Amino acid sequence: MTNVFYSHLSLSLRRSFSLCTVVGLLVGSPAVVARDDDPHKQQPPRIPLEILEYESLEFGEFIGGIKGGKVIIDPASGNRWITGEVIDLGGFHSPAKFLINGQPNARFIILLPNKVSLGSSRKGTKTKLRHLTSYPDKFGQLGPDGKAWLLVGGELRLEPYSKSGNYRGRFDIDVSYQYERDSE
Amino acid sequence: MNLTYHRTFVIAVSLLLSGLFQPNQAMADKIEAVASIRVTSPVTASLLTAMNFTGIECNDLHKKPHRKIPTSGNHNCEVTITPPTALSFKGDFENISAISFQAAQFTIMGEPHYKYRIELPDIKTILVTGDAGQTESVTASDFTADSKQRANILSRVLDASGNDTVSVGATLSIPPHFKQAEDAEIDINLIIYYE
Repeated sequence: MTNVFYSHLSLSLRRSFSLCTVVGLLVGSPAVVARDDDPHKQQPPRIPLEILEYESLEFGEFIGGIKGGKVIIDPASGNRWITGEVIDLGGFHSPAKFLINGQPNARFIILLPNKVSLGSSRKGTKTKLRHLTSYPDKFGQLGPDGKAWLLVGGELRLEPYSKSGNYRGRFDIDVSYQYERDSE
Repeated sequence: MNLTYHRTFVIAVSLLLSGLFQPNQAMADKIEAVASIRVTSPVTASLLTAMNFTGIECNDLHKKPHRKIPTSGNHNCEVTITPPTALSFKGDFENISAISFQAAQFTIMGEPHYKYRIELPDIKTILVTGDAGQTESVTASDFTADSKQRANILSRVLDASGNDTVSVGATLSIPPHFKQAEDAEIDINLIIYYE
């Protein structure tokens, strides 16, 4: 009786395993399963994505002025644009610069926050960084060497009579592979 | 024995399959970026004491032939204040001890330890009331500050609190036959900016 039960259980487990294996192979992780029917189709990447920071986003040095204004860093050119009554005192400016490592030729998606708050050492003094943009914009592709540069800029609003200080803010940049899952 | 084997096998397969269905961590990466800007206080000058003068009386040399006429032929009288207080006279002044000429004094505020520049005016003309009720033009020129300057531009450095004090003097050119009746002030417009 006991042997019969074990035998049934064993059979049942074998079936479950077979079923799970089949389901797993059909539906399972695209990182493992891939078909090569379409030569243009992006293969699921196998090399982990890695982002390395080379430069932070620097706007430089300014005087807020009577009416305030905006300071814009263009990620593609690295140029800085100033509008309003902001007075440019120079200083180092640069888009944020990252090196992305991963699967050669793989496409990737870039996710940036909508806005970032920059605070100074003085309590209660803040300024807002908006319209963050990247180069490449939203989507990119790694080179044959599995590398790509990602540049990030944005638009910083300086309020009239902004209090002096060093304003800093942190924000997350998400980069993920873009590929079509076989099950889709 | 058989049951233990199967249990182990099922667990192993389950773990394997669950691993396959879990999102692959290598598919994405996240990094924390930093954005920064330096906002600096503007450099401003506020007037502490205005440049003012009183008690000036320049004789009319033509009306006093016994006095020596300057060889330059310029009958104006000149008084110069070199900041902060040194006075010098050129010409035929009457009662010099009654003359008061005060340098302007400015408080400068801005970013601590920053270098800044001041551009002084070239020339300034004001109308001054005489003892007969008439008005005469008095010209202030050669503005100087109490520090080294090149032409009318001087460079200075704000202290650790972001403050500085600057005195500004000038040379007044007083027309002859003029006796000042009222105190007079000279507004000085400074152009000031960080170097």
